[in-house]
Amino acid sequence: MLKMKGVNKVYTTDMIETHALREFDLSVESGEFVTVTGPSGSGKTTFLNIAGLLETATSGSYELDGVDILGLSDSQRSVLRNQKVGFIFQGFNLIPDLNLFDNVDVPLRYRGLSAKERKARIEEALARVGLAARAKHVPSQLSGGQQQRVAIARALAGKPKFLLADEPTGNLDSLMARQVMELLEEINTEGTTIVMVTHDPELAARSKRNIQIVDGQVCDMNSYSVSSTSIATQKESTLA
Amino acid sequence: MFAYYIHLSLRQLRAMPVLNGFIALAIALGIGVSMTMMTLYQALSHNPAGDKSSVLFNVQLAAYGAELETWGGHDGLPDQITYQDAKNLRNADLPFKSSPMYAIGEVIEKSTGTKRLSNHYKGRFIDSDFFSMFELEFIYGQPWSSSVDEHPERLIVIDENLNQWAFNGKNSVGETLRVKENQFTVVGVVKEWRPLPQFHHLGSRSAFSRNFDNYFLPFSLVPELELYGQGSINGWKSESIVEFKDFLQSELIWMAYWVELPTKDAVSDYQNFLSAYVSEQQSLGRFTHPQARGRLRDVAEWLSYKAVVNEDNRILVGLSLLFLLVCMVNAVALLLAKFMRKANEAGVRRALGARRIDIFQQFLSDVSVLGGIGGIAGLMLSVLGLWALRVLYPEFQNIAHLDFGMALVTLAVSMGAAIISGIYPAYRVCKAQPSLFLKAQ
Amino acid sequence: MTSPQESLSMNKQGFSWSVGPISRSLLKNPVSAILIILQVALTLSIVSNSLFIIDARIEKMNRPTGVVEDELLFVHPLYLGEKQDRLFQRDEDLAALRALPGVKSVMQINASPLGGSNNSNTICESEIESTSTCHTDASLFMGGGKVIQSYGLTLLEGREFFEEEIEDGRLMGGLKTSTLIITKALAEALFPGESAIGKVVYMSEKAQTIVGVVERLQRPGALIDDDEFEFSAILPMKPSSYAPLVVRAEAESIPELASTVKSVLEAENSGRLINHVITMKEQRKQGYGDDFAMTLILSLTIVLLVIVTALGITGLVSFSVGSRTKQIGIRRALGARKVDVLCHFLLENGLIVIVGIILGFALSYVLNQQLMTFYELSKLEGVFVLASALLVLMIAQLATFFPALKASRISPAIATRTV
Repeated sequence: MLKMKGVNKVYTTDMIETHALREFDLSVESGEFVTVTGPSGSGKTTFLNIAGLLETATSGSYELDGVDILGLSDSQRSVLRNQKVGFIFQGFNLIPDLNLFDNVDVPLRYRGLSAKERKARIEEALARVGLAARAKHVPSQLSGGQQQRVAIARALAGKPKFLLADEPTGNLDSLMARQVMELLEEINTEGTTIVMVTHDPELAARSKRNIQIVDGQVCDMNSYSVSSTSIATQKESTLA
Repeated sequence: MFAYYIHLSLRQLRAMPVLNGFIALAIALGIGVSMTMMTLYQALSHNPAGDKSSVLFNVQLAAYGAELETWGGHDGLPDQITYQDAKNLRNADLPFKSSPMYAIGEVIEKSTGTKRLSNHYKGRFIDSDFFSMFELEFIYGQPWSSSVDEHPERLIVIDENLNQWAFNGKNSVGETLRVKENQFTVVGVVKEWRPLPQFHHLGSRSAFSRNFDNYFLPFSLVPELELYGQGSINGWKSESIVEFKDFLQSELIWMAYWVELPTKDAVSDYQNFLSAYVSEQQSLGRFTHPQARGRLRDVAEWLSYKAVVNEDNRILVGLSLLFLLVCMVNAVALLLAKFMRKANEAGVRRALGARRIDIFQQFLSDVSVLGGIGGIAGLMLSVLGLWALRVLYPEFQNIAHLDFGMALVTLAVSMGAAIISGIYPAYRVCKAQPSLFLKAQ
Repeated sequence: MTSPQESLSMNKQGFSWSVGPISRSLLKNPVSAILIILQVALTLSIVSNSLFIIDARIEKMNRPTGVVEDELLFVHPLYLGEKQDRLFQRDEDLAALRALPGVKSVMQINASPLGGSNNSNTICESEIESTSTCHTDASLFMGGGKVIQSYGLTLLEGREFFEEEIEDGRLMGGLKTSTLIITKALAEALFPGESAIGKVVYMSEKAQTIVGVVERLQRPGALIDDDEFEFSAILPMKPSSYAPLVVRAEAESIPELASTVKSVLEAENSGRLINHVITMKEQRKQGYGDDFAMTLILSLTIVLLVIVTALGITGLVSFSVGSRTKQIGIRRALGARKVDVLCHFLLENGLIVIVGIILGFALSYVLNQQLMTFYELSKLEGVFVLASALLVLMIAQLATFFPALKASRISPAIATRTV
């Protein structure tokens, strides 16, 4: 599904060069549920942005679902992102002006589906997360957990093969977090590949495979291992 | 996709009412003010002669004495001519239509009814060619025959307004009418003739005068009727004028002279004729000034020479365009603020698969909607502005109106201005890295 | 590939803001600042040039005419018949007008300082007319012997016309009379430093002795913009019968007279038409209509321009406050007072506006140059630019004040929220 080899990502400012990823190698198979942990500033978000085609690597190769990303134009990457990738963010990132129906509609619009098809998919996705009755509400009328479920519905409506989640439960209380996690696991069992960045060792432990990123490199690829609990205790700000 | 963008644009109007209101207001004010001035300017600079503009020529003569340094306009050419010169030009045997003219404002008397006198209607002495040169349309009758131009007869052509007052609008050909105690027989009734600006006698009547020509008399009657002209009469020479015939013999100028020259050859023929005429007059002891010459100007040149669009109007158009520029700079600044506020949404959309061009189009659709709203508001402001101009400048009463074409132009300019203002802000947001906007709230 | 620094910087909220100088936060988002600078500069240049034009027009409109404007009424008759009949009717009308209540004096005169028609003539030093002997051009007022009395002019020197000097007029042609009363302005131009009384000038090759000097009488039409707008001469000739009748009456009876005079005259004799009746106040409104319109339009432009600029600045500052909410909260948490936040925005915006004003000085000058090249406008005076700069600065600070006040009310608690 996802194959990164020797990926480097360097941010250059006036004074310093920051190596966010260095010689990063990772391979995720179809149908896997992978959690990604690591300390603040280790490169988790950069990895996710590159994996989700939001940014391009400075060097190295990346293959997504058999497509070589290198050399694709911005608009080709956009189309690929639209078709294959779903995003779930810590901050939900719903569009506040639009109601739930229209929010879920967004990726479908860019795919150019017919109105009928879109309506069917939106209703299905909202029903799936248990919010079909509130399609005409705007995000500010919902609780955090409900907003995140809408964001999941939005990611699902496009039927992506690959779901990227960046601390999806970071802003939620533990009850809501558990509900969201269960939903994600359910989606995974239906065949969608999921990569999830998290700080919560408990959540990381629930996944079949956990990887750690330290200093821009994959540090430990042991499945089932909850290593270095000390790292997990590092609570950090969102400014990471 | 277009419908989707419009749908989104209308949606976001409600989300940021104050900022959107400011932007639409800035556009509306810029458009309203500049279109008001542009509409007026367009009306002022209108060429009412249409197709005939390039074949009708006004004749000017630098026909004055060497004792003056210069006289007339900035180029030493007076804007009217003397009766003597008008008479000589019309007597020349040339195959071109031409007519001298001057306006009178005498009392008209009808033979029936209660209020039989009126000084409301204005007249003009002309030759019969005038009607076809200036394309007057006859409702009844026809022009007097060209023989009347040589052998005077007391005939009159009146317009529909005068015909309404004097004869209740019926076919009045053959009826009689008195102009300052002289009786005339009606030979024709023409449709109202109101060229704006009134280009045919700018030396004597202002371009936007509310006096229009209502009746026409044969020029050959001038010596016997003894009617002084209404308008400017200028002279450079001290002459003793006691009788009307002294007036006609004098060097005073109060007439316009027009000639129709359909081809380039005709123009050069007439130019040569004028040169010969000037030499002839010089040998007779007139036209003693060294810059004595004849000059032809077609309608467009004549309008610009006489500065029909005055200085104030031109300053106002210039300032109103600068005003529009300020409003556009303002709109760019506010749109930048607006789009920055929407940058997070753009980031989300990018993450969900929107291409840069999709975001760009969506933002341009936003500004187009704002431009449309601003344009409609600007259009209403223009209507208000033109109404105010009509109150302030009574002479523009008949011209300061917004027509359908100008209304469309206004909307197009507004959308165009909004889109131009929106390009940079939209570009800024599109160019930005979407991942930057996804983390923070 | 864009580096984050080139991209929008709205989310890059570091602590640098709270310690860095104002200029640094400006440089972070220079486009907004540049747009404000541009807008302020353009606004200043338009406002200063408009104010300058307005001032010139107001000065022109405030020029005294020299006549008692409140007390005058013009009646435009149209007499019919032969010349003798016309003159007879005129004398009848003048007598009828004189008899009306409140009327002080009546006359027929060819011109009014604010009316449309004008007779002017060249004044020469000798009988021979040439460019070397004829320098000045003066407007002629022909109202028989009653101009000073009916117009209410102030005679400074010399005398009024004697009865025997007064002649009947005619429409065209030469002068029959040989005495003149001229304005002080014309007297000073013709005979600088000496009395004009008794001096002889030539008009239309005829010698004219100056017998009196009046303080002022503006030339007709309110059209002349140059220094010669008071070059007028009064002749003892009566005008032609086509000229208007002037009624001088108590100021308070003018409106009443204006509405009744037409019917009074028509009742007396229906054999001529009364074209129109107009008070001198109305004539002033018409004569200066274009100048008034220009003044009004430019004033409105200034007001609208200032509104637009204020809207723009308010909008941008609001945006700036909105996108820095967190930073402001942090600042407040670190001990900044409300007034510090307020001052920060006022100072920051003031700095930008001052840069705009400096650019505006240059633009004002350029715009004035353009106006001078293409139109007959004179050189812009500095005081208008300074006044406009002050106005723009005040409006800009006012426009900043409200969003800045909102910023100062941001709670310090915001700083501790992670999202």
